[in-house]
Amino acid sequence: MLIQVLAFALVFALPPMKSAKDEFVFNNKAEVETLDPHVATGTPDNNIIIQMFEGLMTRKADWATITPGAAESYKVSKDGLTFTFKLRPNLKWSDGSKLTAKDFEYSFHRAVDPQTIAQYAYWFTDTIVGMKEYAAKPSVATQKATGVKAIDDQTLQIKLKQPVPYLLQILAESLAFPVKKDVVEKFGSQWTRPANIVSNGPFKLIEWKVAEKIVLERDPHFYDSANVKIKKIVAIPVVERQTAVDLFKQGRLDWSGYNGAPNAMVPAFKSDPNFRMNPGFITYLYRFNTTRPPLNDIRVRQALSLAINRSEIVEKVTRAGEIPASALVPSGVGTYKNAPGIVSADTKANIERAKKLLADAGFPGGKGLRKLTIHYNTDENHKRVALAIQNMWKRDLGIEVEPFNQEWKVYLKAQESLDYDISRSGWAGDYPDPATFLELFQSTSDNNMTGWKNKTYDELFSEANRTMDPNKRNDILQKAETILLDESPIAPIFFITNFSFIRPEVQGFAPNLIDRPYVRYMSKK
Amino acid sequence: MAALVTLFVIITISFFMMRLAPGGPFSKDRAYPAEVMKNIEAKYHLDKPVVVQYGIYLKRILFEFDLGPSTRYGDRSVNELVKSGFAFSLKVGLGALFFSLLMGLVAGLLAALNHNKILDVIPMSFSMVGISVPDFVLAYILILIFGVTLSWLPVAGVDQIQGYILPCLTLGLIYASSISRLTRGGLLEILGQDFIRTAKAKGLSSRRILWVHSLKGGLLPVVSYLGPAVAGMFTGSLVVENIFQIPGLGRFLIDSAINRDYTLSMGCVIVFAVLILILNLVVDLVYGLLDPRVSYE
Repeated sequence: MLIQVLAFALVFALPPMKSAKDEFVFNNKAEVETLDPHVATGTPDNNIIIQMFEGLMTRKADWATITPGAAESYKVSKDGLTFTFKLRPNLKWSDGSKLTAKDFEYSFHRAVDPQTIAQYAYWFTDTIVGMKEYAAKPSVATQKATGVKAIDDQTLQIKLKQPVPYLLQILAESLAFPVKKDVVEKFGSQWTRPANIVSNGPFKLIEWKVAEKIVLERDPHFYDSANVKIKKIVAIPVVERQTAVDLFKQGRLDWSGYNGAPNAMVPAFKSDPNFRMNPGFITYLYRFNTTRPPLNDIRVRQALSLAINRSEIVEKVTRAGEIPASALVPSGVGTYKNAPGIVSADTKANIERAKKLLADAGFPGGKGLRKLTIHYNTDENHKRVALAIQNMWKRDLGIEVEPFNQEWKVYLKAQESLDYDISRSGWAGDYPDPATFLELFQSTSDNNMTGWKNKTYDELFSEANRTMDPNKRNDILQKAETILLDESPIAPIFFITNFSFIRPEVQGFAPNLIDRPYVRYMSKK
Repeated sequence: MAALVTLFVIITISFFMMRLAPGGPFSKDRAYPAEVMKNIEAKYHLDKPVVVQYGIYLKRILFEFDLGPSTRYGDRSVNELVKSGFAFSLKVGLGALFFSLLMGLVAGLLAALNHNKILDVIPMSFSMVGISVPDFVLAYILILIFGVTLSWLPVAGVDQIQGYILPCLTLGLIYASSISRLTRGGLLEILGQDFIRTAKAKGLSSRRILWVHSLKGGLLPVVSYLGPAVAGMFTGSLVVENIFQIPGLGRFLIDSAINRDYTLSMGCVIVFAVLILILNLVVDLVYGLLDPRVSYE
């Protein structure tokens, strides 16, 4: 019976599965939530948006290097407060109309407009003159008073409240991409549909089928179109990682996508020549609730952090190439050097120190310490890490902890309202700069969620933000990170590694910290 | 009428249960700034009391046939998502229904007609395996054989018609196992009844006894099973849809509940409920046709 059915199936021969030479087919992990560059937050959204739009600045294939995009050049005033961008001549939208500095002026204001609901609007409201006031009360008057102005068709000026060392980084991200005013206003929430959308990047949207695929085509209006080798991009939102691997093996994907293989299979895939691994930009950490005894005692937190054997976790538990972390900021961010932190490479010494700290805090051998819970969102990997740490703390410190899993949103709620003892977290950097991690633990940050407040830390962080000299700034940030690690409101555990399958004929897809595919630089052998 | 009341109750209960679950559609691992959050809540009416939200929702679905905007997929309306997802789930469901009936009925008939013989034992052993093996195992076995090893069929994706074969088979086989057991059980019960003996005594051909006299009654358990089963097949299975990369409704139903996409999950629940109500009605009608003891006034 089965054989009959399958024989019937064979009557329709399978069409060739490999993508064409000028096509790039990749797994985009999940259905895109929005294609509005100002609203987008997730990786799947950005993977599409960066192909369609380009900001004043853009990124090279390695993601970390920024280079002029829609702007041809820029000038910075001596005090570092005024940036003047000169746009390339003859910039065009995908509908062939002219793109001017006015379009950028409109887009920057739209990005912070409360009606747009941009999660990252604070990147502009915190940095650019008048944007906070405009966002609070959008009007012609408040708009005129902001620091974003089109001087003429080709010149855009941005005035800052204080120097922002990572401004150019932000300008290469989707919040700073231009959108076309008449299209957005005419079509409302429908403006991102293939029939309506107008963009300014190397590719334009042709097809967007829910949860099925997104198709982009090279846009001849793009100023550098002559150097774009790939003509067509197909993005498929493959949810199951094993399915992505199967599709790749059958030749139907050129790239199995960001972390496009099951974690558990990574050790087995390592020897495959098409399998690629490179350091990522996510830190896996445990938050300590510093408002609750005994975790309000710095010594207890330090002891707990010291007694986590990071190498053992990455080698025996997670096994997907993670890098043990003794600091918050992943390495590989420009010239920044991590603070050494309290955890040394000598495991034995760490444990001895932890025992002593615990005894000093009044809990010798873990005696008298109440049972703590490790709170994590339901997931096999998080569970295995928690069990390993539970075992280490019991074995080396005599402390009893209980892993406790909750459904995603319940877990988020508990973390946000500090309703936990120890909470698992991960943090992915937004732009290649240490500030994207270190901003988290300012006392005022909504993402702090540990109850930890430190005045010196806050001051150092804002001092770093005022410092334009990159080396000096790095030193200040490192000082801040030292305080954070010393006080241990968090225990960094490991840095995630990016891994995926990529077809050997794909050229120009440099491994980068967030494995973002800038298709404009790619070609196929 | 009763069906409409049931639907109303389902909508009401699901609506409030959804709101009772901790966390909302916009609680994420990176917090929204407070001002932004305020605007979001205003946009989706989340700042109003739950009862008011319920009133707004009812008004919208009853008078405008609008399931609202999705809170997760900001560029899309729930109507659009449900429509597109259901189209795929329906196609897979119809294929699964075809396979399950074909295999289930044939196996069940074979087993019943050869009671306690080898042709009973073999199909029933297979059906036992089918019931015990979870769908994700079955799916990967089929993928491994026909996709990866033989490369006859696509491992996933439904951009070609062949892509439907493995998911339909997977889903179909799971249901076929139950159908074959129910067919066998139902038929065996009928075959032991007095009127069958009478028919035999009258000298009717065994073919006629089977097709005209036994099958009608023997299939009754299958028919009542098929009501909810078909609803299940048509609305899609999360596992099958994820493994085979099918942009169907099953995935939306689960994802939207996890993400607290209130409007999308309500949309999926409504589609599911309406389907079950319709199919139950169909089952009742078919019962009347098959079983002369049941009549409708």
